[in-house]
Amino acid sequence: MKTDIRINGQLKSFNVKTDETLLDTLRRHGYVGVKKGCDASTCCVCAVLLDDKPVLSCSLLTVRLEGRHVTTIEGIPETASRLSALFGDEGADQCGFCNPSVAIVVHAMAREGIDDENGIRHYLGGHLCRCSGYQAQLLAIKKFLGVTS
Amino acid sequence: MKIERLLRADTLEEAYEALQADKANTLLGGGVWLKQLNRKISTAVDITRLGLDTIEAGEDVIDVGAMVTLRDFETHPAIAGLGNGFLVDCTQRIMSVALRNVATVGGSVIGRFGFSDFLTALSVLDVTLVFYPLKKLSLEAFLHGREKPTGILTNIVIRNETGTGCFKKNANTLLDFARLNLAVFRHRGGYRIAVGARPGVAKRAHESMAYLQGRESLEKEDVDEAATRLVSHVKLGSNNRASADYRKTVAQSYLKRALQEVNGR
Repeated sequence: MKTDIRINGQLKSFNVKTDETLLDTLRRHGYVGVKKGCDASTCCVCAVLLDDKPVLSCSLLTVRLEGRHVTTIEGIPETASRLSALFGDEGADQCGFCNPSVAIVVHAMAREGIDDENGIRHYLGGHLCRCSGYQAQLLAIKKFLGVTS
Repeated sequence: MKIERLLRADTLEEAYEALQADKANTLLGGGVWLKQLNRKISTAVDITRLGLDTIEAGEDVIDVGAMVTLRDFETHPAIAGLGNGFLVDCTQRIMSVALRNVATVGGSVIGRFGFSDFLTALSVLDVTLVFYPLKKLSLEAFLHGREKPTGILTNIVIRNETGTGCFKKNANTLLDFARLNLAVFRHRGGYRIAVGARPGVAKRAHESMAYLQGRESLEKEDVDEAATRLVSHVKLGSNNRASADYRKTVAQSYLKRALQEVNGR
């Protein structure tokens, strides 16, 4: 089924099977910054922005997204590079598998004006880091968002 | 899960007709659990375009469109203002923000999921479900009555009443389904109590509610009696998550704590 979606600002026309998920469509078309983890709506590693809100791309059918805006890690290079430097400083960078999805939600947190540690913790809830680097990630994200308390 | 076709419905009538035409046609909510279904769908009916994604908050009722996401629900000021924000407390502990930006209120209701936290919290409020073609049913009748509506759930109407709510959940992490959940709402005349993940779907504890009806201040004996009635009248069973005995112990503790909390202690 023909479906037009704006990906990182560019209008793309996909011909997809009705039961294909956004995750599979994105990866098939080279947006490999989006990772496939549990593929069961749980681990958040497939997170992308849909109309600026973080969503699980493994849980959305591509054909339902006609006319919507999708942002992947490839579309937020400034957030990605700043966060990646802070991850380096804090020793939060391990296997890197969850980094793109964490950057996606940090981008959303910045947009929504999350400004305290509780807010960050809540927003990160459900994002599984396979290396369990949560504390170092939290320190880096607090620096990114300018949260000092 | 296999889906042959998608219908992007432009009207409720079009969606309803498609659903009536073939049993293998299915209405899509948020679609979070869709992949876990082991079935073949001929036509998946998408009602995303029908404007059912808004919350209208009035003095008497909060009218929630079926396609409102759980995230939009929990961040709405009217929902935060109801019963001291206990619906927010419940919804925020369902998996992740990214999941709740996909899952819908309508999907969370219509599935009658036993594990549901959301249905337990809603069960202590006065909730009316509105279906197309026009049919109204209380949430309790929908969950436990004989009648199974075949129409499309369009709105979840919550009476905007004064009171204090409390939600309790027994689970190790945000990503686990509850072993048991419980909600209490203290309103003018008394208390409403519901228990879910029994493992069956949320159910009101009518005997405990009747016992507490009209009691101004609760003594320890009152709370103990309400807890005893809760576990003797609401069926709590065993499954791979917890035994019936475990659930009975937790349910009584949670009820006692929740009654203290809604009374400001």
